[in-house]
Amino acid sequence: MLDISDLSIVYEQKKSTALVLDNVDLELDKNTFVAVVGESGCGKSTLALSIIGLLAMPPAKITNGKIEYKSTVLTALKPNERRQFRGTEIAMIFQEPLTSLNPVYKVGDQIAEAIAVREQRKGKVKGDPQSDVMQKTYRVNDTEFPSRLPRRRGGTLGKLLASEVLDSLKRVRIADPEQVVDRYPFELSGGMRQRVMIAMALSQKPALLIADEPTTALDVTTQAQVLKLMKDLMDEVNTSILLITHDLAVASQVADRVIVMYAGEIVEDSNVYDMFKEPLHPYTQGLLKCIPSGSKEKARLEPISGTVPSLANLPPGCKFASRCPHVMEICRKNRPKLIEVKPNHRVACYLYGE
Amino acid sequence: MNIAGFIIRRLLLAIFVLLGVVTITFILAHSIPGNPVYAWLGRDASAHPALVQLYTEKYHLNDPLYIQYYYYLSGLVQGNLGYSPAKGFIPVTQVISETLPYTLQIAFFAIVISIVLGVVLGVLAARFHHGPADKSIRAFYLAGISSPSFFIALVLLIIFTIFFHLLPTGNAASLSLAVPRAITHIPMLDALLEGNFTYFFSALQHVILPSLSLALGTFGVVVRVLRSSMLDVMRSNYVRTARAKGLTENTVFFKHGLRNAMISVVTLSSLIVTWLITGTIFVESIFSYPGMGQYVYQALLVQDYAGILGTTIVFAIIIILSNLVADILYVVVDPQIRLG
Amino acid sequence: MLTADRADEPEEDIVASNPNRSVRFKAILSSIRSNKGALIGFVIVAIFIITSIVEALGQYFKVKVTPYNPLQISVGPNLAPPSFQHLFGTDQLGRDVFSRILVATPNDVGVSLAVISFALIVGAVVGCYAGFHGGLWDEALMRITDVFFAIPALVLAMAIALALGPGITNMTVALMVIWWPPYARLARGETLKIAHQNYIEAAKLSGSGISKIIFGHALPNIALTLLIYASLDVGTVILVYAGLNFLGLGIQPPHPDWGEMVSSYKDYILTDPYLPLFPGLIIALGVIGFSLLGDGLKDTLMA
Repeated sequence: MLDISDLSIVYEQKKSTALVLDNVDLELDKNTFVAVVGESGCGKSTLALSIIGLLAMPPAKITNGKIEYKSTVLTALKPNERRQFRGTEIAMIFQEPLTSLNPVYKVGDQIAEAIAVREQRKGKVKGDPQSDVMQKTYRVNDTEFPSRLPRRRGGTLGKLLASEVLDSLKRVRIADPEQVVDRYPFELSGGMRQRVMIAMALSQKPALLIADEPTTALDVTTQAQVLKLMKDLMDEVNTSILLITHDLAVASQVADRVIVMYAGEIVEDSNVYDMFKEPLHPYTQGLLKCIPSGSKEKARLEPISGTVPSLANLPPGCKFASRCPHVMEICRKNRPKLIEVKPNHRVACYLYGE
Repeated sequence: MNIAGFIIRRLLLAIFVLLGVVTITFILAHSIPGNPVYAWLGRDASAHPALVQLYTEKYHLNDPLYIQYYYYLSGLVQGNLGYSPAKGFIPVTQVISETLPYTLQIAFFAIVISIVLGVVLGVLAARFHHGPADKSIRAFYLAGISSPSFFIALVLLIIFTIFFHLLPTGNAASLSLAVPRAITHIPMLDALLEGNFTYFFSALQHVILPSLSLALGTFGVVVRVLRSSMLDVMRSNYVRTARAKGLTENTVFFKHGLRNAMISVVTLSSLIVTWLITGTIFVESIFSYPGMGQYVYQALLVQDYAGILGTTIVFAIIIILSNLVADILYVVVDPQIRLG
Repeated sequence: MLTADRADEPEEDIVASNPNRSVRFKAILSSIRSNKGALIGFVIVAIFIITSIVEALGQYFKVKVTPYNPLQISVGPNLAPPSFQHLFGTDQLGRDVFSRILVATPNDVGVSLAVISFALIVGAVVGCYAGFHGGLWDEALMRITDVFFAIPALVLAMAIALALGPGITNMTVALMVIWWPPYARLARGETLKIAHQNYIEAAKLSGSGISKIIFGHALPNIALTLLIYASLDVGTVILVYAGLNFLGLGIQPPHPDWGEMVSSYKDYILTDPYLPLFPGLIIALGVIGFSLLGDGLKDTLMA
């Protein structure tokens, strides 16, 4: 469904250029839950924003590669064509539910606006509402939905929207949707707001939902609830989820597949069981040692020594070489490629393969 | 906290502030060395010994200060602001009630022009920020807010009246036209209510230059604040969410961006009203517009102290009222205040 | 939390951890140079200040530093248009307008800077004190500033100047009396922001008195915000000062002032429109200079 090949993105600053994404190669299937894990600054958020097309360019610049979605090359599109994919095809929710909803509009109106975008796009594709959005007729006739929010009561569209807004809130297990639609974001708790964000994103029926650290700002109990909700909803609404997180434990709870990123590169990619049972890359192994397990014999956590190299001034060899316990001669000279060493298990390390 | 409680609290504060203003004017009126009557009556005092006698008794100037304060306050409550030497010793209250409507006319148009101009240019500057449009708008408003209002008034006078003979000056409308019957006491409004369009259009022609002079000095404040808060809002997370929904850039900009950025413009209303009111003193006297600003200028020339202090109180009341309106507007535009 | 022996450490340590303590002027200068608007502002302000100093010295030592004697009538024909002899022309009494503008510079610049400095110092101390002390002092300050905010600065200055009698000294006093409240309010807000930061708590724990905390720790930290506000505010004082002069409350004839010149030349607008425009332009130029410089300082220091 989504195919990212050799994507490289740089941030151009006055004095230096930082390579934030380095030849990222990634395919996403329908209806899977994929987690991208890495420490802050490893490029995972840049990856998310580049997929949905919200990366500020400049300062960011794509130097290589492309993003292909349902056989359309997204990276080749004009901004207005690119927009047609946002929301209804690829949706996204963000880290801070506190600030991610517009403070001056009621929650119900904001969801209704999202549904209106979807309805309007569906109407534009004559004959087949589910057909490919890239049909010519769709783009030619594109006009924007009236800038006034549709009233939830009155009018056929209004009534339709009203019931759908309520349904979307029910779907995210909000107990009293009739109350919540008339609330302003600041009247809701953090967990509720993130549920509203999820409801809003899913109301557009996207094929891919990107969630950028959706639970980081929430307390632990709410975090678990929201994660479980996302996992349950994935099957209900038939969408794929790309979860961006710095927390390997979070990834292990919900994801089917885990991708580990380090300094702008994918270093390991496998299903969640293999990743935790038998991590291949020394960085993944290091990360796993940092998770408190609770059992006594492993009570000592081992931090990874050293620091991430500067993205503006990368060493020629493997980016992890300076911190790697298994570093070899070749690691400092050449950069290992991401290769499939086992079925559906890719790793970028000279310890494996030939 | 509910809306009623919020408004009541602001009202109480407004009353307190007004009391403070009145106290300041009292202190000023009594801080003049010697017999203050001579200062109040201006240069003509010595010519009217009877008036001096009258004033001394009327304001109990031989009594202790707190008694004088009491009489001053009770006089104010009855609408007694003293008599104006600048206008032949008619009551200041009467002068103000005759001139204030004209000033309100100018202020109304000035506010409309500066908000419209400010919002339009602020939006343009934010939309094309760092581009040539942004830079020329900045140069334009910087020139405006940096120029004294009397300078802007003179420049407009030269351009529109002296060079191009486009617009009339002097008075509030053509003198050959009768002022409409007083319904609201605001002549232009009365003209509209009466259907007297000849007077209305004549008055409109006379009001454009004074109010434009004022607006050109104040719209820049709106541009500056709107532009910077717009740029902040457009970087906010909820605007990112709006974009992620697939809305067009225009919808994102106006519906999600501008709506929020406008909240910060409401904060400015008090500042703008203060500037406009100050400006009327210069602009009305340059255009010979018969408003309260021109009266202040005339009062200054003859050191008409009663007039100056009376108008000071009226100016303060206008500002206090406009702050109240801003508070109410806040409640309307920001749900967080309405319900929070 | 701070332990007792942490608080017993020499005071230098606390000061060293105290941010914004030293402003790096070299960095500011270099970033002003890279900001075109700020550079223009800097140049204009520099010209105004240098002119004021030269003119003030000239008046003090009775040295002629203007092309003509600004007070002498008939140095040229009456109402002559601008020329090389009379750069801005001559007025109705044949006085050289350019000389009159030059000689008024120290008053305008001097009064503005004096008023701003006074407001800055009084406002900072009063606001800081109210912020730390809280309670009745704080409440009193807030209500007093509320009252001041309700009267337009120019109108209040006008009333005060009229009570004191016209003249440049009285007018400066009037401006000083009304100018400090916004600074006090700003200083109070900033003080509340820093009142509970560690270096202030540390100073309290180490037993410093309130005046020592205010002058030693709080003021240096809020000074930057206040200075930026002040630099943007100079232009406003110039405008109000010009307005009061226009109304005849400032310097008395025959001594010239920019606002006074616009006022007395405006009667000749039909025949010689340039006459009131030159002093008006000079006022606008000065205000533009100070605003550009203030904006530049804000961008540089707030970044």
